[in-house]
Amino acid sequence: MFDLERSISEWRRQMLAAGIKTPLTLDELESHLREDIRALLSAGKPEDQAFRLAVSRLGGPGPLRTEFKKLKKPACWPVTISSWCFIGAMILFAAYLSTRLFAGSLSLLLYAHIISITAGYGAALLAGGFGMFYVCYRLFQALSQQRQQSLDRAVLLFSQSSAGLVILGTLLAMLWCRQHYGVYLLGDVKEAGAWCVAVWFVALSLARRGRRVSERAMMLMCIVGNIIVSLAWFGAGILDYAQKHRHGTPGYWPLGLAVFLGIQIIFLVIGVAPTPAKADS
Amino acid sequence: MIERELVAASTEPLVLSLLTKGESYGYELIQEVKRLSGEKIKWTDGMLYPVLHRMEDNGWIKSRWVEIENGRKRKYYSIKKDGHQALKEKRAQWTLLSSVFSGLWKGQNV
Repeated sequence: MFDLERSISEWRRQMLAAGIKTPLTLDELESHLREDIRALLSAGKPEDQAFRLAVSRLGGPGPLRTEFKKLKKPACWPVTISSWCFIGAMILFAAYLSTRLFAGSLSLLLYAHIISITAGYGAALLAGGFGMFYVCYRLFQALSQQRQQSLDRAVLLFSQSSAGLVILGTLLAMLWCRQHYGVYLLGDVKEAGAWCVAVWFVALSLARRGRRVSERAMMLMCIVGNIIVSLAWFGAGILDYAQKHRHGTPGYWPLGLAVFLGIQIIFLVIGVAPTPAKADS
Repeated sequence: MIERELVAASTEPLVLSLLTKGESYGYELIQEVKRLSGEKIKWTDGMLYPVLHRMEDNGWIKSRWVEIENGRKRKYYSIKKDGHQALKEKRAQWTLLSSVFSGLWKGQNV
């Protein structure tokens, strides 16, 4: 005697054994199978025939697993390695700073602010680094669709993270200022720089999410982001140092910043120029 | 019967176009395509789901589980803003191809 429920359970076990292991995917396939069986039963087919026909229409576990496997997101190894290095560096930095927190030389608010801002600026520079990688790569060959997708995802992720972390860090700084100076905003260049970074990366993320800019434009905008971050972080730092120490800043600081900015501009010029290239494999 | 490669290439625009009419689920989408094509477009039923999942990953469509009867659930899909944009682009491509073929085959007895 044919038992439909037992047959469906057996079919599910076979799918699971073949490698379709996500329960929700299996639920969805089972739901489809049941719809088809019901339609076939309504058309007058006997239960066992309806089950067998519905299973064959749905397709075998092998081809289905192959199709679902294709959904795995492709990775671009330079992107993966640098992302993990960045995360590792941030964890080390947070651990290092926590020694000052526990020593009592840093308040929790200031600690959280420094971590947020450093991670936000770091994420922005990493997104810019991916933009530079994109420009370099395109000089020799066009990126494959998979590499492009991987890079695109990473850039969007780090741009959004940067915007969020810089906004959070700035809000924490405002609270800290309120506690220590009685005002939320000091109106100095560092504050202005942070808001510039946040606004740029929010705009960039929204533009990309809404597909208003191409992948290439997004990469170039990230390189522009490098310029904004370097001015907001190191440029503001140089000005701040010069104000506090009236004799000025060490000469290599502005020079280092100028070299960095020059490199970004060179990459932007190369990135804007059309590059005839063949797609890689 | 339409060739497999062509069926595969047209799956995304077909699904997006159907979802502009309202939310739907896999089985219903397959039946609707069969009906509209006079059974000339035949998807291997299970193959639609990886496509639906990829489209969801792309942010073109979204899904929700709905309880239908006796605790059984059905996964409904609906189109998102990015899906409308993707459909617009795909529609332009297919329209262009169609007009190129129309121009080439005009007056020809193929």
